[in-house]
Amino acid sequence: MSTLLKVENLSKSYSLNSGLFGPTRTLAALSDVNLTVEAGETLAVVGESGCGKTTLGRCIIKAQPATAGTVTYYPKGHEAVELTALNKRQIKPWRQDIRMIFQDPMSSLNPNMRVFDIVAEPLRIHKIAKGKELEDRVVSTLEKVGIAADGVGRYPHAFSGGQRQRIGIARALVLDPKLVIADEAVSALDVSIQAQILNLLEDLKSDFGLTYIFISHDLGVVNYIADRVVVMYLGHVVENAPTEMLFERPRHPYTEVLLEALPIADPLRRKGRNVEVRGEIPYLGNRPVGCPFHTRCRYAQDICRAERPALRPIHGTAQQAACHFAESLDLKGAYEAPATGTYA
Amino acid sequence: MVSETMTDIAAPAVIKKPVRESQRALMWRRFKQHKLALVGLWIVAAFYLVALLAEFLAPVEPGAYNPRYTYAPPQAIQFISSNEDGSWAFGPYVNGYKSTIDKKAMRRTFAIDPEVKIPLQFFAPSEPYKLAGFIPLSVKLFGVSDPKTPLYILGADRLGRDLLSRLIHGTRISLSIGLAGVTLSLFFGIIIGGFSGYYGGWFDSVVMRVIEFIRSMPTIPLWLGLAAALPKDWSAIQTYFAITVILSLIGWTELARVVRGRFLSLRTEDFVTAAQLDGASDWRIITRHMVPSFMSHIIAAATLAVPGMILAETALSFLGLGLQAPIVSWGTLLQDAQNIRTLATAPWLLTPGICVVVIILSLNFFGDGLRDAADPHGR
Repeated sequence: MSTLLKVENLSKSYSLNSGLFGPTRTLAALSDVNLTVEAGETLAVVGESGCGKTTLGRCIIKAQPATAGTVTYYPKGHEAVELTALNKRQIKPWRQDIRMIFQDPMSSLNPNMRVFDIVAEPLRIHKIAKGKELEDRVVSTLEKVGIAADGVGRYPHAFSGGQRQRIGIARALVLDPKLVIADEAVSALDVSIQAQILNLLEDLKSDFGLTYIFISHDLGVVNYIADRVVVMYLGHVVENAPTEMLFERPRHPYTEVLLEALPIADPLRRKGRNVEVRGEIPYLGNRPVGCPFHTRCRYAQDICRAERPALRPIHGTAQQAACHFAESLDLKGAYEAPATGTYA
Repeated sequence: MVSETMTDIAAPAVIKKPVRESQRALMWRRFKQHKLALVGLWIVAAFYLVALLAEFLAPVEPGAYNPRYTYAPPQAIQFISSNEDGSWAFGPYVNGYKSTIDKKAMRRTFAIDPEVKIPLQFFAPSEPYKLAGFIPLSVKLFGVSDPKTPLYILGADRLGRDLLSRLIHGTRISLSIGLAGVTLSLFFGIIIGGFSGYYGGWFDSVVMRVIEFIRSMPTIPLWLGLAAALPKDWSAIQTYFAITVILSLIGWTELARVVRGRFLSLRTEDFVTAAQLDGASDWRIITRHMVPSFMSHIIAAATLAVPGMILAETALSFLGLGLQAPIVSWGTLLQDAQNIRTLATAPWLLTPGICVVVIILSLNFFGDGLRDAADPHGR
């Protein structure tokens, strides 16, 4: 596998003005995020709401400018491109390669445009096709995502949520991209539709040779689709591991807490739960000194309150974690032996 | 099912002829459900038609006066006449006047004389004129064959001028000043409000403060001051445009706010972000993605702004600070109805006021209907 995208020391902070003469505070949504995306993999980014996972996606695709750090894209047969250094005009050709699928299928499609025009818009902007060719390409892309050709003249409101999400996917794929950032792409859909869309994404991945950055808060979905998982907390990457390893044996206490929160459809196994997360997620503008998670971590020691652990490879595994005790802690994963006992 | 889908792919003609109703069709269907708005639309259309065909519809020139018929009362149009020999004739006519001079009051009083019948003629020949300024015609919709006979369907004013003809010409000025003012306001409103909403930042703050400042000023004194500053020697056309500019000086602020609000709310919509991520230019995003989704709202807001303009012009002209004679507008016509004596003897001089009320109400209903219909999907 070759590296497709590298994110180095990416930071994003917002300045908050409290009133005209009030002090300006900065709120760091992302701090020093490092990760690489390999060609052909599905990388999931998970975390609670407010942890910066959406901001990460938007900074990578430059929907928002990053405050510091670099995002480098490695196109096949072309030298590396530092996306963060490009201006609007320079980045335009690369927008064909990196595309986005949005969370809310209701607001991500222009209600005043026909489905055909919505999907054709990127082709028109990049002047890739016109006339008959454009028509063919739009219709065949829509066919691939499961929208019949007789629907192309309709407006988005004539479609259901799942169908709209398919149209959104078609819009992302019509330019034949390399990397697709799916920001909570299935969160707004109900569960049966989620499964359909996830399967569609899987199929399209092999058809188009795609790489996904899959942003989600739903670990069940992530377990299903992702090859590798990045766990974020308060704008920091706290763990980065292959999916199976992460679910088998997490290396960061926060990951353990997240896995523990997975709903279990088995009352007997549910009983055995003992890890509870303490406290509230801290306010971003007032982040703790030391390890960002120490205020809620049940394993926290003095060192955690004083020193921020760096994200480092865990010896002997393919995992990376930002915890002082990543090797020594024996954290509980989500794959467990089947529960014993009877359903009384 | 499968074969059906296959033929669809084979024949992409389906794409060109979508079965779905267009946005416009949906709007029209919704609009039609609002009965008052529909009535409003017809009345507004009728008024604007009158304004367009003013020269053709008005039986005489608006400036033509006849001191013999000052304050002549309205004549009723009648269709069936009985002759002295008992036979009946069919055809529109009006009765003439019997005038007596009241020596004490020093004024002429009129009474309808049923003996005198002045036949009305359709497409009566007249002095040659240019309809709407460019179509040469020498015929009016109706008139009298002998220009010396009186024809005052809505009565006469203090110089013996035909109120109906003046009202018709006034309609043109009053309605067009409303439209012109709103067009000008819309132009500035969309440009300034659009910039303000799309780019935000300090420009937005400055524009909003300026708008608040303008709106905090009492409008009537401001208009009066500005109108009084117009040079007296300006021609009628110059005054007309100056008044339009003065009216839109305040009108643009309202529309700019509406436009800015729409831009602000749309700017963060995902479909706008999607267009940005497609690599679309700002111009394309604004014109193709944002403006179409609120154009109908803007049209509705503009329609609702027209009555304000008409009222403002009428008020200014009524006070003698807007348009000046010889320009005929509803406001200048109402100037004649300023004192109680005239009103008591010639109440028909108030007809322009009725026109104002009718058109303002119609425009409001029409605008309301448009605003409701602008949301055809009921979003």
